[in-house]
Amino acid sequence: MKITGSDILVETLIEQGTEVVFGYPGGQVLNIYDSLYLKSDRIKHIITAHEQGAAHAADGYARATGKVGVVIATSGPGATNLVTGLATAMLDSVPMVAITGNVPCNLLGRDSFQEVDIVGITIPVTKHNFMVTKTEDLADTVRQAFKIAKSGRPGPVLVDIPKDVQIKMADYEPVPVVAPFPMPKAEEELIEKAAEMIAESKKPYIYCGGGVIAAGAEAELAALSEKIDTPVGCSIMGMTAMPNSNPRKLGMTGMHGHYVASKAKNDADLVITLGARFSDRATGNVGKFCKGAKLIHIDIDAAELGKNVTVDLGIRGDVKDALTRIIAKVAEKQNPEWWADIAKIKEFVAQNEAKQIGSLTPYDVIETVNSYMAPENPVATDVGQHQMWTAQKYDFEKSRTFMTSGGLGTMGYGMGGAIGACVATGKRTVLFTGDGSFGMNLNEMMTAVSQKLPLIVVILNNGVLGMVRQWQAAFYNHHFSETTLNRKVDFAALARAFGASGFSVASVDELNMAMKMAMKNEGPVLIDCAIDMDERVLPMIPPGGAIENMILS
Amino acid sequence: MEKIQLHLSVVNRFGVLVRISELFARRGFNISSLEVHETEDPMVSDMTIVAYGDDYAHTQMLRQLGKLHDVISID
Repeated sequence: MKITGSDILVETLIEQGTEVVFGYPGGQVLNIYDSLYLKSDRIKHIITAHEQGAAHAADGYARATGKVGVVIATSGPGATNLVTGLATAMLDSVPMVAITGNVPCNLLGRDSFQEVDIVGITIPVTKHNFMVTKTEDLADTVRQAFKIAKSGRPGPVLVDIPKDVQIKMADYEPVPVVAPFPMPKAEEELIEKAAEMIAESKKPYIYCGGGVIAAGAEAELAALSEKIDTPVGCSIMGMTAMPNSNPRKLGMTGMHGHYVASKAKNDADLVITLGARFSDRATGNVGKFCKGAKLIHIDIDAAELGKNVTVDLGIRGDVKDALTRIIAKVAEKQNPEWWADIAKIKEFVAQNEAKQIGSLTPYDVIETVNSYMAPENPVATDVGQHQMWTAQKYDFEKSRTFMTSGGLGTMGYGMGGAIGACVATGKRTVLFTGDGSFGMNLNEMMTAVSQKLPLIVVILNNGVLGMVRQWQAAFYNHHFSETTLNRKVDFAALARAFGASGFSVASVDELNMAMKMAMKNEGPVLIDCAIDMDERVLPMIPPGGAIENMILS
Repeated sequence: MEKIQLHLSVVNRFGVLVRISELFARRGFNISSLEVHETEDPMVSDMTIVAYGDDYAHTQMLRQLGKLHDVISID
């Protein structure tokens, strides 16, 4: 049966399992929005305040569920507003499909009203993108977009649809949800070699990234670490691959990671890296990175093997499959001496931990809020000091409960990311943000209110751009260039103006009172927490430094 | 710096050249010479790229190009 292009698009989204789309209407997507209106009983659309918020929400939805997040925007500025959201998803390997409208084909290339070459603009920030010029090609192109987004190393795909393609009629037949491309499997020879290296090691260490979560290999990670008796460290993207309550988990490594996780990685004689890409923030000086260790790197993306760090054994393949086969190959082993070394590092940390200042410290805020939350409640952050404090202190127990922009470091990600996770799970969601980050996309409070989302926005408000300030203090002679904000925003009052609840707190007691109210509230709540502007994120490995340069206190 | 010669089969469609040249630009690899022509199959073009770089650059070129969905094969 022939139906319009816009109907084909919406039917294909539904057919591919889409339950919710985030977006913002406009001139060149009017037809798509008409189809969404007519099919609103089968697919839910959530309008955000800004297309960037919609892109981050689709990303948060995808991170929380593992499903493909979908965002729709109009041509021109609507499309360009997606760019930061796409880049955020690209750097963190988040499966997304972005749909943009464009001017009709006969007006393309004429600098028409709200025309922009969004396919050209988004080439470097998408896994792939398409412009559809024939309605007959639309359904298959959208299916291909879903397939690419969720295959192998996931990522965002954009489909640009000129208005006439949305209007014209073509045949549509539903098909089942497309399967991802087959996952490449690790070569047997390499698996055997990995097992040999593990058998020879005295101080093995597992370093896991977001790829473990993308592969659904959390159980295999736990099983291998158990069988060969290793500690486990993670990148920020791999934070929820193992629960914090597992005594093998040492925490996050890298610039602001847990000291014990970074130090043990440095002291190990074998580092088994799973689905991580050795970003500069995770490695510090690559020349000094894990000098005494042999490195095994397992990743689905061949281009990551040897890209940032030279490894002794690079294995391309599905992490879940590779782990299953390694577990079967290796003999059980115990490393009591290695654990005794690690216990000493832990003791050293306990004696040297930096003290935070002020009557309400950042750790107080995170621990207090944490005490009200169940393991399945999603936690989002923006980017900066509050993000690192959250990664350091929050007790992550369940996979896919941490929405944070790790690779791109997108200030302004948090509101959208939290909204997406909240919509996806229906669970009370916490956003830890800073006054700087929140200022970037606070308009999305409107979305949280209109959707009646049980969202708790916790602002760690120090009146400065704290992370930049910390660097200015450490490396720029205390020249606080443009980081002292001198703003007079009453965020609690602003929340109330948006139609949410708002509290300002300056002590743990006040925060507890606010949290008790927040837990009873059905809609969004904002809690503005006054913290000291000179709080620092510690420990810190200075940029380009190594473990011996780590500043502890 | 070694001479690196890459032979690619790519989809014959608008925008494919941009994807490939953008990948080289983004990763900081300079294209020294480039030749593209249609094949007997109108859906497929052949491309020959010459660039200079070390083993690292060569490996990255091959593996990053391998991820492009419009690249059919590389040798």
